[in-house]
Amino acid sequence: MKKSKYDYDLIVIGTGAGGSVAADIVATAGKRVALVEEDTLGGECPNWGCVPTKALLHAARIYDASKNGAQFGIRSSAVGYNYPSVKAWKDLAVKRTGAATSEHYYESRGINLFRGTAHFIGPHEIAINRRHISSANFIIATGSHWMIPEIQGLGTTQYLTARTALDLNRPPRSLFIIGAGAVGAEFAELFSIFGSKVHLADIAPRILSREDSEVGELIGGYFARERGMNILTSTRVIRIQKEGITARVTYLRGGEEHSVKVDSIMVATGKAPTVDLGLENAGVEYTPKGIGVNDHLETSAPHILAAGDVLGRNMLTHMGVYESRIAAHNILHKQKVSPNYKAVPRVTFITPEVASVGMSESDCLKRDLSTKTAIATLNIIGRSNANNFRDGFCKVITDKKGVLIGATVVAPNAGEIIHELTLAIQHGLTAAEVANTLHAFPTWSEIVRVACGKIKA
Amino acid sequence: MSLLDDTHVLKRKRGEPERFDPVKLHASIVAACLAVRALDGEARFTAEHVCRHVIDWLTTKSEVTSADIRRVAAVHLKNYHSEAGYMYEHHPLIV
Repeated sequence: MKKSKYDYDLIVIGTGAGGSVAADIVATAGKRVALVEEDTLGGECPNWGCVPTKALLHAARIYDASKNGAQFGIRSSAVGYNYPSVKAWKDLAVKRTGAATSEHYYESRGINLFRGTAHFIGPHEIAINRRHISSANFIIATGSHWMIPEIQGLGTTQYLTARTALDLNRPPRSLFIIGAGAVGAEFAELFSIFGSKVHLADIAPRILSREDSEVGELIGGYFARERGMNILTSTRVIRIQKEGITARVTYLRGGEEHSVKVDSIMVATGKAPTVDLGLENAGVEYTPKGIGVNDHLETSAPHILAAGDVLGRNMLTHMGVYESRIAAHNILHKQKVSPNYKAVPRVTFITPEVASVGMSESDCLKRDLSTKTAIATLNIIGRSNANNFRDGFCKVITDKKGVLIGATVVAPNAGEIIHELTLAIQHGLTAAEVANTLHAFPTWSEIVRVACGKIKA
Repeated sequence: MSLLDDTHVLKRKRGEPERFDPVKLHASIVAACLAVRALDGEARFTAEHVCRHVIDWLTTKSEVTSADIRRVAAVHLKNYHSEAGYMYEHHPLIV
């Protein structure tokens, strides 16, 4: 038998959503596969991302609902929480994913696992802990890391990130969160429910600035009114000074300098793709915003593919899994396929949940598309009355023929509701077709029918 | 022996590994600065800072190529002295 030129057919760098799925698929096809991981197996999502934050938020919501039961005749004056137990629940949820202890699974699949930082030393060779291994193909799925803004005094002050905030032994008495995107908003809700005084600051004119303007306005108002948060939009943090065990945050807002003393500071200003792995040595072109790939997820070196956050597109776990499948397919087959980004759902797990799919109104404006838009507010549906929850809406965007191209839902369980609209957008359904579909009464999903019904044919 | 000597090996173009030598890096940066008529003190000050950045970066790596060191050094050198940074980055092409 002819000896292969390389040690492996495929080396996948990163065991997160973008890497592990491809490794599994290619190994199942009988290829020699190696996985490289420098941190915890499974990457961010199951270990210090989606899973632990949602577990904590679930506990927080139970506490919040219990506390506010009086309006429904529930006596709840004795409700309390024990944060170490809440943390233990989070740890259990993380442990149950099994991601961090999946060595045996990979071994059983015939996948060799290397622990260490991979660095390209040639187009077909990487070094891991000074050991050189070669492969015919690579998939780069190194994910992303939190960006730390350059703020005077931040380097000398202890601050929290989305990872370290999960390991606190008690919620801080007061917390200043820099960055009001999805992660900042989720942590703001979490700690405010547990009693922290939260200051949520962002340089953008509204929170959740990647969503349509109505979302930021509604959630900002809800956070301020219901959670007692200090919402600081159009705010630039200019200085942080340590004052004993607390910190003083100085910020510019409306041309004036203000300052506030807080127990903790959290940085949630966004993530950047992790591209520092000697890509130049392999001839892979990249920018700090991500690795450039063609329609088949091939980099400028065609035997090296990339998937997940490292592309710098949609930093979402389900996108990583999707791209990983596509990359695996394109390595195994001559007939290559391309990812379709037409209907990518994204959810912010706050109260009310924010979910959107497809194009936003600003995307349509940038493309100069002729569109129709309709909004239905949550308070007009039966479930809103039954649950005594009125803050929310459904917004749908269609092209001039009425075909759905984008949607946003702000409502309880919006993360579940959005999939109806995702299916509709993916398959080119019109708003009328969705509106003419029966929706059970009284469900939150009725808001979709009402919004779609408002689009005039 | 420092941690850096122990764990970081510079792999030269010819394929032979050798230990990373911060003195060599320092000298090359000083030379680049002097080549664009920076003052001697400024050149040494700049080289010290750039070396510190490169060493910080190297602590996360087990093995890198000489091209990697040149690239990372050039990125930081540009922040301190843009002309020297350009010179450092393009030196192999210019010569």
